Amino acid sequence: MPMNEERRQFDSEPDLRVSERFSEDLGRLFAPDRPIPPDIDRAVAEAARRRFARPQRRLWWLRWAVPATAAAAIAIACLWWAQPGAMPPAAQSPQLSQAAKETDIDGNGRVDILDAFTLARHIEARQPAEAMWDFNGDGLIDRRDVDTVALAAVRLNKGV
Amino acid sequence: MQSDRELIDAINAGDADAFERLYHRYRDWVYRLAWRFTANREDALDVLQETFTYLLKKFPGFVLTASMTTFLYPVVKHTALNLRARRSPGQVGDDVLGSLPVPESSQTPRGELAAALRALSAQQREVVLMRFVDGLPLHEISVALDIPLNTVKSRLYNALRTLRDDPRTRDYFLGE
Repeated sequence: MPMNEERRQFDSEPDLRVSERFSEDLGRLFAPDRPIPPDIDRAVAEAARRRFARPQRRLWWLRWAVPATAAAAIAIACLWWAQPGAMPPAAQSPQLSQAAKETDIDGNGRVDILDAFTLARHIEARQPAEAMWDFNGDGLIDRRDVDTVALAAVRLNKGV
Repeated sequence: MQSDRELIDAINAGDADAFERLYHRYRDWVYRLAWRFTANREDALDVLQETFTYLLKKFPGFVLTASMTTFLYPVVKHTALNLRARRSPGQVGDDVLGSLPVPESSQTPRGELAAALRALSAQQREVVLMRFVDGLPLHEISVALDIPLNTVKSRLYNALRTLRDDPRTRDYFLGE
């Protein structure tokens, strides 16, 4: 019989079948000399109780706390955004008022990230651009000018 | 009696008593295996606790894809080997399995069995013990050790041939 075939069938090979005594003696040979003490059982049971008691209460909190916090944050942001004076007016600082006027591309009275977005769309659509939108003064109206407006919007929003 | 899967479903639903029942079902099996890998009662008890702590952390969301013993075997083995490596840094190398203890030989029949087992490679000895002490079927040994089934068969076949040809263990074989 070829070796591979023999190996596949060795479980039922008569000369490799072992008696029950083989398992019994092996089991005794590798058996622990003393049983598991009761305090180990208690420790495992206690760990299980802790695991299934506390996290569930914590999960109950998390289940409600996370969406509630997110909803509250969104609501506050929307209310703040909807207020007429929420965004800092362009003319708060004399030093910034000129820059604010120049970068108020959509003409809504304030400089914000929407101006940068409007300019970006203008450039992307290859629509005619105003010469005054060359904010960085490099003779081109491109993505660098968008960055300049975005930077101005961020600075103005922080009231710098 | 609830099946393992029924207990696991109950544990996934947060039933701590079901976990305790699962623990009592497998604690002796785990302890015996841990003792085999550590040959030390205190270490074996540490491994027992660490194994069930590991299992506990799997809940909720634990899905049993094989038998519990197939799942537990590698957990116990790696926990025990890590413990041995921590206890004896530098003494336990890559061939950690080869350094696993085999009970001392004596003039008793079981002592002769121990001596014959030492003639096997560590991998062969592991497969023999998984099959005849832990009672795992061949395909479960393959899954637990993450080796091909044919490799399991080959190791067991060669181990049994060695033991059959050894005069100290020949009597265990039923013959033709």
